[in-house]
Amino acid sequence: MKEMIISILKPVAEFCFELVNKVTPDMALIIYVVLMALLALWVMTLKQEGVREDGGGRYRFWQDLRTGAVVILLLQIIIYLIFR
Amino acid sequence: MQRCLGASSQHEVKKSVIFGASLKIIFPILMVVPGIIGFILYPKLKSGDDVYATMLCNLLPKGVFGIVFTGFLAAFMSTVDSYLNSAATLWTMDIYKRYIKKEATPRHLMVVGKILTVIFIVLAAYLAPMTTKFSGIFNALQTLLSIFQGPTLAILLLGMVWKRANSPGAIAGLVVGVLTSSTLFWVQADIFQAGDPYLYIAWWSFLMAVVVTVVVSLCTRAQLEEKIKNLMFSKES
Repeated sequence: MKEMIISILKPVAEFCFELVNKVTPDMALIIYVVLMALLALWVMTLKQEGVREDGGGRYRFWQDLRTGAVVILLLQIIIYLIFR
Repeated sequence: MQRCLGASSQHEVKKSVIFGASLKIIFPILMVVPGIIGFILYPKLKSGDDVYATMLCNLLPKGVFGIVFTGFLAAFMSTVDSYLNSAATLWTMDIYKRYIKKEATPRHLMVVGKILTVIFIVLAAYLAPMTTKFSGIFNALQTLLSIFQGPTLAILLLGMVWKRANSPGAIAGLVVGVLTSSTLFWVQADIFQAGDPYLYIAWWSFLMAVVVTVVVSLCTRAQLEEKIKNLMFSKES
């Protein structure tokens, strides 16, 4: 049973391994940073009233949860760039 | 997730999740940097699991060592009791009450929960030596988690973003996903190039769970929109 599963999965695993091996560390870095940046941009598209507690009053950017989320994503990018 | 349900408002939940994410960012640094320091200071250590304990024993003054060790134990017990409570509640409410004794009183359920907690502790103690079969405690934890993480994430994500996802689809996805990860775990040495392929196992079981959940959901009856509309992701909320 085990041998049969291995014989089926091994060619697929080898193909995927070859495919992933073609991704260079620089490409991986770019993909990661672009994904995080896109996520940050998407967060900014969320509606303002949906992220503030009462939906009214004077707008303060530090009370906007979107600001917190974007800061976290930017920190994630910076840490990744430092420790790559 | 359970702690989020205890928050006073949706806004507080969102704030706590963002704060949690900020703490998660420093987690890799907290986990990796002490290991690197330990590797430099004690290059002759045989096991990576000994690094933290050796550093605590050798680098901290006696009083501070006690405080750190107490904190470590407190964090450890807090995590363990949360897991035990969750597991006992899940088995008591979702399995025992639903399938074994439907008319059970709250007192009876409480006793069952306590007995189950003891059983889980004994079971955990019995299975603990299994971790020696892995290259370290961290790898053991990640590998065992990877069996369930992929399928669970798949059904959670689909449930949030795809209104056509339904219960039969989620159950089928979870079962097939866990079977996939268990099978990959079984044959991992022969098909993966990585030494500890838990992330690959989680990824493939996630993918399989997504496919099965989608197919089964499309083949079965959709849930009423009224019933799920508050559970779905929306840019408005």
